[in-house]
Amino acid sequence: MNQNLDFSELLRLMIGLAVSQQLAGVLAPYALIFIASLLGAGTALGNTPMPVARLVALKFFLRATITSLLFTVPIATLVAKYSPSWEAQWFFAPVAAVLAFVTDKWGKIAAFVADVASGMIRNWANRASSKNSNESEKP
Amino acid sequence: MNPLQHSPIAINYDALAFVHLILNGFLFAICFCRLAKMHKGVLRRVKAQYVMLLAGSAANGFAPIFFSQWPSVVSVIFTALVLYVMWSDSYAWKHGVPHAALQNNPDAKVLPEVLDSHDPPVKETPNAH
Repeated sequence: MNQNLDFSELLRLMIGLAVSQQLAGVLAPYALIFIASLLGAGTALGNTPMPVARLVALKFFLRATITSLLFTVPIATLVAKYSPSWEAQWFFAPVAAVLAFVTDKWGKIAAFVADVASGMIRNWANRASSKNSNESEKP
Repeated sequence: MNPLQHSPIAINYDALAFVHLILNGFLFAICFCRLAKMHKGVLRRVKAQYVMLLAGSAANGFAPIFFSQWPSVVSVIFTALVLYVMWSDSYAWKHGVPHAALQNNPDAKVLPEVLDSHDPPVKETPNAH
């Protein structure tokens, strides 16, 4: 039973009708990644707090699409190495959409991660200091 | 192969695919400009409309490359009709998002929706006009 049920396999079969199988195997995942990145970038463009100028929007769109075209395949391959039963082609569309959606918000995500990390460190330090103070007060 | 190869009309499918790509390019541009005009207060279903039409027009225009599916005359005419609908709507988007597409529009409460902005809906005054 063939387990390749993902959309890029379907695209590969369809493109393989017109061009060679080797070219179709390379082209099909990138067609899928392009469409998914358009979905992510369009969502990000519609969710901006204020209307943006067309040129700014065009620059943003090019940045988002090119970023996800370049970085989706390596990230999906890395993610799929977590488990031997995972295959990279299943992660192409979601990783492309997320990369295109987060194009301008990496700073916010880094700040959130830094906030969580500093909170954990502060919590750990407070607990350690209170434990030390308890021990010093006991005798 | 060409389903019309025995008909007296010879259709150049490459030229048809090029026309299809141009029409879908116009659709893509319209959706792009409307998405650029949107902000946080726009209904999510309106955003989803234009995001889906954006990606769909790109996939439709590049279908001969992406899916090796070639457009027929009928599908090109239908794409032209969709483009006419979008183009004839453009007066409503001339000065930004129309009021009907905003979240604080009382008419938009027909369907439930998760709101981005928690502003109370605008009260309709009888003598608004």
